Amino acid sequence: MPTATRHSMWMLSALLSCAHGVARAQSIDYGALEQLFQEPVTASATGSPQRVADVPVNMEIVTAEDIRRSGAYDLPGVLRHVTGVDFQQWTNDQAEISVRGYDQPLSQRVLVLINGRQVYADDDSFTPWSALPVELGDIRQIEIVRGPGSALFGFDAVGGVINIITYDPLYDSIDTASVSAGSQQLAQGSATATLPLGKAGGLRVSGGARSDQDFPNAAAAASSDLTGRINQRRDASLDTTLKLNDSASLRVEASTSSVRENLFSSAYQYDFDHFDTQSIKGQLSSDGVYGLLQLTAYTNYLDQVSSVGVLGIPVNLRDRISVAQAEDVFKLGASNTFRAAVEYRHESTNTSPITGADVFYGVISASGMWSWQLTPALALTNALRLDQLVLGRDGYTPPDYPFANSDWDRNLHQPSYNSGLVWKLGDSDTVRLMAARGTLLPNLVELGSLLAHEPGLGISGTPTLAPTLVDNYEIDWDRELPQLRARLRTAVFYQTTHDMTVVTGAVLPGPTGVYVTPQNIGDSNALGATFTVTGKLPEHWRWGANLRLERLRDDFSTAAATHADLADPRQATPEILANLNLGWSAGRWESDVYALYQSRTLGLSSNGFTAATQISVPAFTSVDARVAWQLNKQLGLALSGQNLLHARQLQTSGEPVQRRWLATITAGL
Amino acid sequence: MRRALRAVLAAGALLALPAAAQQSDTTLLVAARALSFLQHAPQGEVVVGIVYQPRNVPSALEARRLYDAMENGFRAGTLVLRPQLVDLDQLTAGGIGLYFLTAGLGPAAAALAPLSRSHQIPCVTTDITQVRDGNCAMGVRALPRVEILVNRAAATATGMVFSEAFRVMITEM
Repeated sequence: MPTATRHSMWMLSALLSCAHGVARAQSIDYGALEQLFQEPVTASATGSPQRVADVPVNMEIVTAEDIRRSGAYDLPGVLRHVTGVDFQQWTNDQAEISVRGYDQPLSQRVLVLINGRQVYADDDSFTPWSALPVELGDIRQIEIVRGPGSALFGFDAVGGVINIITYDPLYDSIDTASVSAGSQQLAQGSATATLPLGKAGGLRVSGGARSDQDFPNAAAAASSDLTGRINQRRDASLDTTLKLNDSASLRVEASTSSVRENLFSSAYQYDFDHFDTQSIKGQLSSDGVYGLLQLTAYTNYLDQVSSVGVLGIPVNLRDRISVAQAEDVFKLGASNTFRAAVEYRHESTNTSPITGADVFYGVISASGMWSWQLTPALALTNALRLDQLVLGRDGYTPPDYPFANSDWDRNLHQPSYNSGLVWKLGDSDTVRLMAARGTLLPNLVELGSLLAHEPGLGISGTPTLAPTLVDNYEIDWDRELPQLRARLRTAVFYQTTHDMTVVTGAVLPGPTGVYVTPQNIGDSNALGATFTVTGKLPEHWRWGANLRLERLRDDFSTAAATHADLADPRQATPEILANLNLGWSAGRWESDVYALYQSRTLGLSSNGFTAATQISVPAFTSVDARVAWQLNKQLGLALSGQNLLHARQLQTSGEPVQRRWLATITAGL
Repeated sequence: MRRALRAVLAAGALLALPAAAQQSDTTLLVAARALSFLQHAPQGEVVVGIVYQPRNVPSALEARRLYDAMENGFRAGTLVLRPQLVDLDQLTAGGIGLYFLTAGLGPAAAALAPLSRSHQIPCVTTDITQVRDGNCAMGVRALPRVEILVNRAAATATGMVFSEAFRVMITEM
């Protein structure tokens, strides 16, 4: 039995055995709490359930209604119009999401989770959005934290956190199916069914499939022959929550997905990748005399094949990650809420395209949170996390390799923190002061799992990289505008990034040539502000507008400053990003329009691993829209479109984005 | 007593606005939903003792609005609330599963606390002062923002034990 499988079986067994003897326990009923408090509820800010207006972080929640009315057919499309979110559409099925800038192919800085399970791929520090095993109809809400969240979620939550919360089959019965067809030969189907298990709990099964074609014209992507390649996506998931006694619950989630898609790589060139994922997770929740206790264990499997790969050789990475977590949230007295947690994670990835070795690490973490309600209007929250990472490598080393396995015998100790003061000034105003530090770990590709060698030239990761640290300082002000039935949210932030890493740049001499490796290139900082106003007009209208102003300054090494290292966040981050939306609904009709403006940027392109050219991406405006008609209680029709203003529009340094149409029939029970 | 109440109610009917009635509905809904987070949450039909003073106009008006809201059974999830007017000067616990203490009763409301505690009957009010004074365990406000205040000592004394997930989201004292 593989090591990772043994880990996961052991953790699940331990978790199940703990289920016995837990009394008065219950998982969080998001729906009931939301109904009570008349606003979304989240545990993604501090680990403790909170009303979104009370959290000590900059957070936005996208609701199920927002998802439906966005007209998007995938997750990045839903997130595209959220304040402060960068969106780069590289292919039909590959859009990269970042928060507060620094977006790039295989965007690194946002940790993405589904119900707290990491779906961000540690091995190469990115989120394979198409491979996420979740259907849009399964999602209760998407929680977006702007700024570091490492004190709660650990490594990689530096630019932000996106936690996708699905419906809980214990409380929510969702039965829906939809089929879509659209331009670029898009065909998509999705279905979700919930099976109540009486008083024992509930079970939900869902799945979906999609196919489309990016480049039907031979003229597209001349540098790489992408013509005729079909993007395909399939996923299935099972989610069950069982009540163990009057109020105890155990939730088990299992999923699988398979994706074939065009992908613009972190080397700034087109590739065609296969992703195959499997996961299993168990979570025992307890709300009893010891507080809100949660024991969680999960294992993720990700197999990725890059057809173009490096040096023309395909790359096949098989990543295994196993995580065990225990946490307790409890209140002492009337004013102090605490969270204590420990975590162990183990991750391993093989080397490729030269095989025969594994790069791995284990991380032991301890974290704590203290929320102190100083007065009814003033709350101070501090969270601290300590991670100890032990890195290693075993297996084959090429004869002229400049490293020995012992070079990977490293320990890293990294603290991270979140601190937030929330001050409620009456019923209308809330002010937040926040400071945070997050840590972006060098990924396993950068640490050595990428290993290629041709005569005279090799490409490898390196074990000596330093983690990237992100500090964020911020002041927010929220104001209710009851006369306008609106809410204004403003934020000013200053963010520093230390020891940024790029995939190439360093050159190590060997006996028969050189090895190109990743390196830390220096620091970057960002100063920005966001403004969001959302509101409703009498009867049938809702509207929103947001604006992000941001300017970056880089302090990179000389080579990086010339972009030879494939890094140019300053010029790739738009200084102005603005969104406007207007929605109308009446009776059986819904109609929504979304407009996005992005100022000019300079992107990178490459036809090799080290040669980069800058491409000017002019300022652009794009419009998405959706019209929907509910035929009866069961059946609905929708027509939606993206990038409607132009048949083709340059939005990145890759191929122009194409106008898309999509018609959807939805059946619900 | 009932004649006096009818007189006040008749006068109040002219003054009462639909918005006030809606506010009572919302307040009741918040209270009922909050009670679902009790470890031993009431279920099914529950008689709500509306504690008021007939000659106290604010109290009587709120009592009337609450009575109207529950007259035909107020449903919140699996809970159905049915009203019973309880004069503060003639307190009773017979058949009552929940007290709703009307606002404006001042120090006189202290008379309810011993009964609530001895019969382990939860108490809810919109009068935050009564929660601060320990005369009622839970205060609710529905607008402009839902606020819930719980007096821990009073709650413990009346057997109200809330789930931790609920406790960490409300204001306690």
